[in-house]
Amino acid sequence: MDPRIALPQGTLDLVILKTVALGPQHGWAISERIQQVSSDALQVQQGSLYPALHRLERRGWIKAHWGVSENNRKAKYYALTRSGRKQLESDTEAWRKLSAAIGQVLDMA
Amino acid sequence: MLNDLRYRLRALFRRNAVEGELDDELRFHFERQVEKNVRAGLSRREAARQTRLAFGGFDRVKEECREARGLAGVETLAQDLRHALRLWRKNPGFALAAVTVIGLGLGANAAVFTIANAALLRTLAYERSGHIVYVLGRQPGCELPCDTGRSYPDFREFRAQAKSFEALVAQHFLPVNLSDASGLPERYPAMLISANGFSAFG
Repeated sequence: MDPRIALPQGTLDLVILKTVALGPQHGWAISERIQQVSSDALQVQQGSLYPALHRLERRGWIKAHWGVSENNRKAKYYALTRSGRKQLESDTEAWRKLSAAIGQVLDMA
Repeated sequence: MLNDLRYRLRALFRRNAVEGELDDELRFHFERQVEKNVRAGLSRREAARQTRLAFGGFDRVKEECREARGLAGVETLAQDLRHALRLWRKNPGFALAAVTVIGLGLGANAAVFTIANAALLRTLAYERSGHIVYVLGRQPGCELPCDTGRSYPDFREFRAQAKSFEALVAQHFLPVNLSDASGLPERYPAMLISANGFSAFG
């Protein structure tokens, strides 16, 4: 069976925010990290990753700067801003509430 | 909010820089992915092919990033404007006709409004201008207000007997010729009014 699952609407932003909260990352590392940590269940395609990064940057939740990558190449790094951290906290709480509530409904005997 | 504005302005006015950065960013990702595939045992060519497949088209990704930057509206507008200008250059007769018609329409509109504004909307430039009325006489057998005027003695009688007005002023329009030593005489419209006119209007 295919282990991959599709991210529901709106959760990609949350997953990205959490990933850059651990330290500034460039786009490729963000998608790799998400894939690894989710045991390959979540695979973020470039087609949705980069638009999401630009959208989050526009909202001021992440900030981009150019740096040098592990293999000595110029890369664009994204870091969480203060308002991004607030957003991450409230989104995390909302997501936990939502998934717990849906779990309860589905477990109803 | 401020951040959003700054971000969009930069995206709009430093478009080339922003597009170049997007190019670099996506190319970096692409190359890292190819390297990863090569390390997993694929040939360089096959690795590049698979990465390209997964990318699903650079241009589509870029387009969606542009949309995420909130620029799509402005850019579409700019494209439409450029398209319109090109069409005009191809068909200058039509462009001229369109500009002329719009110009005439605007001009006529402004002229009519100027008249309507002066005649209907603005009040007279006198204090308590609502109290000023124009008094006309009537001629037997004429339904229209066809007044040929009063004689000055008549006016004096009216003024002495009329109780409904604070003041009654006589007025008469006439053309006058004025000349000075230097040139030909010139003709001006003038108005005679009775001596109480200036004090009555304030």
